[in-house]
Amino acid sequence: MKTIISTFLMSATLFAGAITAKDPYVRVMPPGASASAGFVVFENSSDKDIKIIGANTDFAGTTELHTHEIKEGIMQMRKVESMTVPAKGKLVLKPHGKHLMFFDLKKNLKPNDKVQIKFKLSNDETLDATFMARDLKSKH
Amino acid sequence: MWKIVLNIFALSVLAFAVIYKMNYEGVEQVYSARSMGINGGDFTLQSEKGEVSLSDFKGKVVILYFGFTTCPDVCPMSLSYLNSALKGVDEEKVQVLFVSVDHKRDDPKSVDMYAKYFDESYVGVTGTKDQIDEVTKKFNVFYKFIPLENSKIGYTVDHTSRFYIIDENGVVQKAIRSDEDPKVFKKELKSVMN
Repeated sequence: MKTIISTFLMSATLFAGAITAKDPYVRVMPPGASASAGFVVFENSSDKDIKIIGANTDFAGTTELHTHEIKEGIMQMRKVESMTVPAKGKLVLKPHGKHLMFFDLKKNLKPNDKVQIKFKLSNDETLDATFMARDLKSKH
Repeated sequence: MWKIVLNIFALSVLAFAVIYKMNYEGVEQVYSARSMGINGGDFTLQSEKGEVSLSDFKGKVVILYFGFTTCPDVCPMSLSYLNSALKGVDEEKVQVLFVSVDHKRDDPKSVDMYAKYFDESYVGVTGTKDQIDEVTKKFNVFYKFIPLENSKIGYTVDHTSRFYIIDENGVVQKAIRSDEDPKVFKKELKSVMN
């Protein structure tokens, strides 16, 4: 029994840290905008694919996962239910690409404000990340 | 033998010149509004302070962009792009006009606030469905409301993301993709301003 418990704890510990969030930031939006976007690079150090299946934060009523493409000069954005961070790989959320969408903004973010975002992962774990607010006019 | 070599050389030079010319002209045509079937023309939409027409800006070069305020990425990035691209350009000679095609959700006040965040001189406008349809037809702008199931936003708006450069007389001259190299944009803008 002891062995089973310790094996379970070990595997849980190893899996919990499999996903890390690098360079996370949320966009400071102009007044009048009701939504904002977030960008981050997820890295998966495990040998199994892990999906991001949800996210929430205090500064927005709803957080969603969205894709973004420009096809023949036409901007297209779509909601997706999950995004996969490949085993030993990365999932890049960047401008003009996959991103987080925040609706019902409860706070007007200013540059350098910090917000906490909690991600729900397909392995039943959660990931907490601190996102920095960046001005649209600054380079990124 | 030498005749054959010379002929091959001459033909190669000719082929190179033709290909070069075709490529060069091809690049030029990409930005020419006329070659893209974009006729443009005057239009009137609503601003926070009342009606705004393209002809109100006669004497200035107008940069026109179509988007919507719930657009979290390409629209703000494009206006931010303009902000950088227009540095050093005489403000008195250029006017940026942001048109929201989201006539269901956006109002003139929110559109104008959105535009002015990037620069106080920018003007944001929108209009009724009929008004938006009229202006988008003139500039060959595609826009479509796409329902997003289970999304808080309800729907998104697929739309053309281009800058239209309109000369001092109100004639649309250039149409440039919003993800184009800023150097190309500046070069094309300069050609319209001169």
